Amino acid sequence: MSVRILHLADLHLGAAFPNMGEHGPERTRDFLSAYLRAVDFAAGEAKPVDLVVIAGDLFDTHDPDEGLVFQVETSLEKLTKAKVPVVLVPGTHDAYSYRRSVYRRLRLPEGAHLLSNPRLSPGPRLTIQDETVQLYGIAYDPAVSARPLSEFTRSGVADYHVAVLHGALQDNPSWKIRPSDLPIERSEIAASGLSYLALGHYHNFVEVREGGSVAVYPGTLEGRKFGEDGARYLLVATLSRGNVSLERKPWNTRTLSQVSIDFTSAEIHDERRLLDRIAAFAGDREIVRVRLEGAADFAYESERMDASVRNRFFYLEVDDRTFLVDKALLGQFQDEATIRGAFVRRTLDRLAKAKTSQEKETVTLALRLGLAEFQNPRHAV
Amino acid sequence: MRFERVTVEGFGPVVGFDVTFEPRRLNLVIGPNEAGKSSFAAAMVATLFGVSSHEEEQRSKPWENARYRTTVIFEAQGGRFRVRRDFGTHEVHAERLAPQGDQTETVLFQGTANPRGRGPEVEQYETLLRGWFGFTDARLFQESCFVRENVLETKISPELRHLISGAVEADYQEIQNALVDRLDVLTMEHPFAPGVKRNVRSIEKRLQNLEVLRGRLTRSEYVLRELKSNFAEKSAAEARINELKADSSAKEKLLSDLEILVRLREDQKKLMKRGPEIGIELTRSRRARTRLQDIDRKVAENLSYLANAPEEVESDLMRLEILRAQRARHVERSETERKRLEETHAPPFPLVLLMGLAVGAALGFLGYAASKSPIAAGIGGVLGAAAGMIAMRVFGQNAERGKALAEAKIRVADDNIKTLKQEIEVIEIRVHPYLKGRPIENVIADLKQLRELEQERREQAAVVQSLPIPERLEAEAGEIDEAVNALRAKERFLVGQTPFLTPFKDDPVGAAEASDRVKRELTGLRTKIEAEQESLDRLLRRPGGGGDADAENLEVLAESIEDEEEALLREQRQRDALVCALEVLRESVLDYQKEHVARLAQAAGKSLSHITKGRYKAVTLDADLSPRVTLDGRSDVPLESLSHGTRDAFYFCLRASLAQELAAREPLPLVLDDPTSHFDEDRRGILLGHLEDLAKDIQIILLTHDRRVLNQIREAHVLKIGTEGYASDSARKIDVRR
Repeated sequence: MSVRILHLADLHLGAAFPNMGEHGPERTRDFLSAYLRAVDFAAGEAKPVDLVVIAGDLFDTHDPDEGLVFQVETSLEKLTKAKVPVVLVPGTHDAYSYRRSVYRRLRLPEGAHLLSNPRLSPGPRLTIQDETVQLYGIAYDPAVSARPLSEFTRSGVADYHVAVLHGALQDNPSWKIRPSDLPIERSEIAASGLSYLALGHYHNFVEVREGGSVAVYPGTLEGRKFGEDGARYLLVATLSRGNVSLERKPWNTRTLSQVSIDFTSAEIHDERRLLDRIAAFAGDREIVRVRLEGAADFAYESERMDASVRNRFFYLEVDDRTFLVDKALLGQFQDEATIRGAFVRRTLDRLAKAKTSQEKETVTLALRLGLAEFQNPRHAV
Repeated sequence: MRFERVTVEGFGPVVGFDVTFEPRRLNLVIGPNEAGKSSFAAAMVATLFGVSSHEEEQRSKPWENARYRTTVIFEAQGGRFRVRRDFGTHEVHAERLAPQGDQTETVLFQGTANPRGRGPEVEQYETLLRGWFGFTDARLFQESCFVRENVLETKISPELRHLISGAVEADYQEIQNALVDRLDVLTMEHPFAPGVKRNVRSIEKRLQNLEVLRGRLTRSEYVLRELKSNFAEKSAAEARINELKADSSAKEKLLSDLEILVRLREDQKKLMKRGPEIGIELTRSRRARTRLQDIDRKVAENLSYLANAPEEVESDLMRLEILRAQRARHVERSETERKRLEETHAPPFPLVLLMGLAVGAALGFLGYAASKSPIAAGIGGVLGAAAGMIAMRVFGQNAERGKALAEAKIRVADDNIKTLKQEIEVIEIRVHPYLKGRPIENVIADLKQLRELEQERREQAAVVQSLPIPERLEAEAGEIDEAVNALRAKERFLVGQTPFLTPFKDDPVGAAEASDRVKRELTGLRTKIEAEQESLDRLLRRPGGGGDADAENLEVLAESIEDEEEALLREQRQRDALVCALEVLRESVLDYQKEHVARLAQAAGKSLSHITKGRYKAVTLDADLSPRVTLDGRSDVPLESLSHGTRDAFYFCLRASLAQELAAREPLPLVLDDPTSHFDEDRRGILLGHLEDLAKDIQIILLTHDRRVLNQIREAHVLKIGTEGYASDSARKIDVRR
């Protein structure tokens, strides 16, 4: 006996990608398509899941356009018609507090439950294959409940207690967590007595097992920003007595990746070789941020270079962090009885005198920009 | 630095060319066009510094099947060095030579030194280069040493600026302008004069945008907060209203229950009252029906003969009876009169006399008794007799008159009887069917009875008509029973549901009072609801409360702000860096001018003075590096006002000084690529003279195709290239002395 939950979160339907230019709308459609495919999967005849939970940020904004809302309503109907109940909570992006919050007008079919209480409180109690699942949910509103799990207690007796929450697990010090992000802690998860805590908000997969409770961020189905790199997965959690197992199916249409090209180690000394190196990551489905690092000993115009290689990617972003010249070259300039020599000497002098790292950074950049201009082929007569 | 010997095994068109230069004389390399002079010059630089681009390397491959290799022997920093470079393998061999001859003193470097690659070997070799020349940049070397064709036709100051900037593509002013342009795109807040006027500066735009975004965020946060508090207040107010409404609807229910109870009671009462009524009606109805049957029977039994009697029969019969009675009376009277006629007679006379005497006697007696006188008695008797006699006489006359009267009466009666008899007969014919021998009184009585019965029947029928039929009444009675039972059941249910009603079950007054009380409470509740509703409406009219105001999506705004801040930070960093670069550049220019330009001018002036035999004393360079010369005590003559020859001389002096200045160690040679090709003979002659003089200070290698040069030089070391193959060597060199 087990209960299978399709755990979705952070679908960000309707998100715009202005940076991607003409590919932006296509990327928006990718997101909708990933969600609709997930719905088709859940409503499939084989009945692969018993319950669908959506842990917030289903929509990218609180007031999405009507067409999108209609499509979501249709998808929810599809699920409930297939006898798959759905439990939704609003998130940070589609918070309930707004006047025109989509959740105030979303027509929910019978069998779809929106938990709009701003405190973590009991939702429906479902019976799935003779086992009871008590659901809990919270609608994001930090003004009402800043620490959602702190006062949580289970309600009644059920085979499984499942909470759906859009909040921030304070687990990784590098995660930027605002106090308004509904923080939760491992100790609170351990003390919650929940069988499964379906989380949303953080866009990458995280699994936390504490004191018999399992808390999971499923991650996005399509990467929204760099950092949501690589394959994205559809998450199905199977709850059985004393055990929660997670199954992840690759789901994304396009892949985000961040790569770095080190000029020194990759022995790049001209633009053609650089373009070849960048093109190695190209593809219709690739959304790539290339970070150029190391010391470059030739000058190039990144705009022109981007334009020549960009159409081989779905989206390409070049982050140029190279030094135009390497240390030896600087040493060479340093001795010159030229203005360039003087420039290098003085800049290096400033660098040595710089106190803060920020100053150092500024001076380094000044050196780089200055020398780039000294060697800019644009000035060639 | 001076070149001593250059051996080109293969470099472009130059194959198997070996030349030895003289250190302190003008070296003239002469050859026709396309002989490979420029390639030879390039080979000299490439041997030392390598080839900086792949394309150039390919271009410079030997045309013939020769080895792509060159060797240079040169003198620098007081030592002699040999560098051999194989361009196919980038193998470089550098060694220090003995002060004389080809003897190797030390091998300084042996390895791969491709300037397009990086590595410890390259760095090691570059250290060598730096030691020899003060720099490692081939271009800088080239720019410093090489004097291009036609250079003397261009303006000096831009070229000079270009040269002192570092032998790169741009001069420092262009670099500065480019940096200022970049800075100017970012911001207008900078101390440098922009080249182009711009309306949109990225940083200011971003700052404005950020301000707007932050404003929007704050406003949205405020609206959202208001919305939330309004939602909370609203839901509290709505909860209160709902509670009150629930309360009021409970009261309404109670009220209606009470009313229902009262009505149930009333209905019961009404129904219960209707019970006896129905009984009475039933009895009446039944009685009336029985009576109707009786009447019908009676009529059928006794009065059926009259059943069809018309209306006038009755009056006929009545009249008949009256007529008959009249007739009887008339008959009777006639008979009476006849009898009386028979009996009536006049009194006989004796009786009259007797009567008179009796009366006279009585009166006389009376008179005597009254007066005691016989006279009186006698008078009285006479009078009495007379009176009696008269009276008897009157009496007889009356009797006679009565007889006549009776006879008249009989006649009248008989007439009447006759008349009556006729009428009676007519009527009797008419009523005969009903009489048929029956006594008329009976018939009349029957008729009267019939009429009475008919009347009664009508009345009873009306009663029957007015009442429902008994079955119906019975059914109604049943229904009433049922209804009463139902009402009672309802009442029980109601009371069971609302125990409040129990005491009022049999207490209508109490119920009415309770109902009034509940009504009052209900009114109170309604007032409260209205007040709450009003405050809710007020709430909805507040900013962020009602209408359509909504917050923008905070997350989206926050993300936009984050992106914008990031971009701003990047741009600000870039701005700071650009400002820093510009500052440093300005300082560097000042530095350079302070440190080098004066010296440059001095050195150039010295050379110029030397070459012109003291005609021109000194050279000055202003901030823009525009040169001016001092001529015979007259100071500051602009260069443009001098003759071509003097200007050429000045240029070479300056280049020589610059070569020295740039190298910062010892002067580099000057390699001139056909600078005189467009000169007239005079100018060329003067220039060659200057060069010969200059060659005493620095090594000068003049490449030219112009054979006329040979006629004009006074003292030079002449080398031919490309005339008879490249098998040139020292044996071919020509010493020209004049």
